[in-house]
Amino acid sequence: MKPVERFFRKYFLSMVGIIGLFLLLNAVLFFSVLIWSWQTSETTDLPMSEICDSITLDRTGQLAADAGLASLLEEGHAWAMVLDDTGTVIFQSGLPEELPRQYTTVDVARFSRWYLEDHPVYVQDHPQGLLVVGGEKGSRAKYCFSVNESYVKKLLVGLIAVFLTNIIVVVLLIWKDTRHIEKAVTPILRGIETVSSGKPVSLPEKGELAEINRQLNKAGAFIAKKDSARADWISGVSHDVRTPLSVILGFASQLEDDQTLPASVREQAAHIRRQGEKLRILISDLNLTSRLEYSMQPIRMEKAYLVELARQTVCEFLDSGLEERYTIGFCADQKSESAYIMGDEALLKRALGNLIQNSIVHNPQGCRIAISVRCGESGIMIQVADDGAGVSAKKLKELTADNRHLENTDEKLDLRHGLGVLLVRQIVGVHKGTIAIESEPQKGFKTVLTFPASIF
Amino acid sequence: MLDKEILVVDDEKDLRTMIRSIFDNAGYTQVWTVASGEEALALIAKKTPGIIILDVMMPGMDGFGLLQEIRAVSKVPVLMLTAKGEAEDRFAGFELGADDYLVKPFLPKELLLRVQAILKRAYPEKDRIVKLDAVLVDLDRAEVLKEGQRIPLTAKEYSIFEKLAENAGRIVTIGILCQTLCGEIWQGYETTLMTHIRHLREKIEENPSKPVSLLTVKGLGYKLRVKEPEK
Repeated sequence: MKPVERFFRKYFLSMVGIIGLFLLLNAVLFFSVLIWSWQTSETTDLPMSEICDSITLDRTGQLAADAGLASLLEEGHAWAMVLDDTGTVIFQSGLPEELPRQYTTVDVARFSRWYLEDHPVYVQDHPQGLLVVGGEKGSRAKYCFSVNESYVKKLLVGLIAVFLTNIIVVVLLIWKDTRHIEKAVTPILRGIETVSSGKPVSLPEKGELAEINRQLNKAGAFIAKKDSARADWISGVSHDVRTPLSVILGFASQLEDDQTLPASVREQAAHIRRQGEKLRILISDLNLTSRLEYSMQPIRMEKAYLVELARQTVCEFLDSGLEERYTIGFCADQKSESAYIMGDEALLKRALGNLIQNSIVHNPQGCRIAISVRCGESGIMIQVADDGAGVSAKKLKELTADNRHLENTDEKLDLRHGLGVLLVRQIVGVHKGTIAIESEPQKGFKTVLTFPASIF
Repeated sequence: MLDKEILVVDDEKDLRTMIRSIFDNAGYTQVWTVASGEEALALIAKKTPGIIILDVMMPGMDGFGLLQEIRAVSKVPVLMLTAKGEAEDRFAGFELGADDYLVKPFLPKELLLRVQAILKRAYPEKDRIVKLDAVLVDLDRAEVLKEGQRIPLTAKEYSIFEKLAENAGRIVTIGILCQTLCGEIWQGYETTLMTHIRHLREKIEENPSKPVSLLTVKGLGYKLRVKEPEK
């Protein structure tokens, strides 16, 4: 499920990224608006200190304005006055008529905080008294406030906390949402994976994505139907071949044993019998392998003692009149004697029989076959080894590659070599075991099957 | 044994002919063949065969159906022949009371051996004497006849010997022998089995350290070689 997890992690991170980008963009826009409105506002700030500097005492000791004041005030649509310590206006420039020329301390205190008859006014210390500069009515908003320092600190911390909480909540929500989608989508992706591996799929057909699940189930059922049709077809063909083959094998074998016939005729009959037997093995392997491939073979899991099972399989070969070119040796260690696995005895015998059969078929010149059963830490191991022709490295690679032969029937399907091992691999797989093959040309062929075992 | 009647039920004519020739060649004198379940029932109503070889897949009444009909009236041994290799069929056959089961295609030898084994089990000979190189073994009395002497076999020795004699010429695995001695759970009994085999050899072999009748097949089991193989 790695790619799916990766996808959802990416999705989550990208969502967080989008939110981050969104916040950044907002900050940029906000400051842009601030700068823009400040730069483009018509009313300029009143240059208090410049105004203050331009009102000085002349030679007569009277306050007078220099040339720049008029234009400074003109620019700001403002007026200016200077009050002395008694509150009398001792200098004025453009002071509106309706405003008084004398102010009490209370008046000064009042307008320095707020407005003077609705004129926004600003005050500044002047060497000769108090400079008061006023603007046009309604041209400026004026607030004056003082706040507790700890309140400001708390407010700042609070604001940061609110901001961070917002971020965390958003991230959590995104995470939750992602999980929600993941939960809904993961079964579908699993289903697709299951379908693609050829196994039956059954997803619950409810929730928002019920339709997709339904379609997937349909696809799975369709594939399963095709698979089962294929397995049935193989089973049917092999069934129809069995009876004619019985007749061929039966008569050929009788001719071979008929002492009244010339040796050459009996030899020919022997050829027919041997080829017939090859066909027989092929058919039953093909049938079983297709049934295992499409999970149509009923598996009966029972206690299976592998040593005894191996003994019986070997004995069947020895009793069936093995030709003298072949010898089969058997050994088992003491511990494996009481080790068992949960398994299907018939299938396990088949696997072992196939391995022995392979050694016989691939070494027509004869060989020694050694079967050994050992019980180790990794489980119980059955080894089938021969000292025959072996296989090339290329062939060995093909045999050990974990491919599904039945899906590649259009490729060069070498049934004579491949199917036996494929079947063994399938049977070992059913029993949660492992298979290891070793071989070199002219140095024999060795297969080790390992199963997890329990001790009696 | 060769006079036992063998009834072959199969819809395939060539297969019937082939099976008939197998038993003819083996010396059986009474081989009857029929092509359908109905014919088989009609025949069985008139005379009882010694063994029935039955094909599972037949048009009309199939092998399983026929087996059920037969079992309702008779205990005659039945060997099922099937073209299906599946385990299901095998279990179904045994559940209905088949004595053995053989998957097509088969070799004549396989069929012959199985039929012989079934007949031997179903119709034990009255005088069951096994002839070995050095001695005769009287299975009915559980005695070894050695140079005019009668040496009794213990119960365990007898079961071992009987099992080996039933499968004369074939290897009987250690597991199967232990199983005949002590049932399903036999693991750990192997050394005891060896002791019994040693005692048995002392009674039936000329030279117990160099056995010629009760042979050891290394690692696998034991094999009894009888002097006159029954045919």
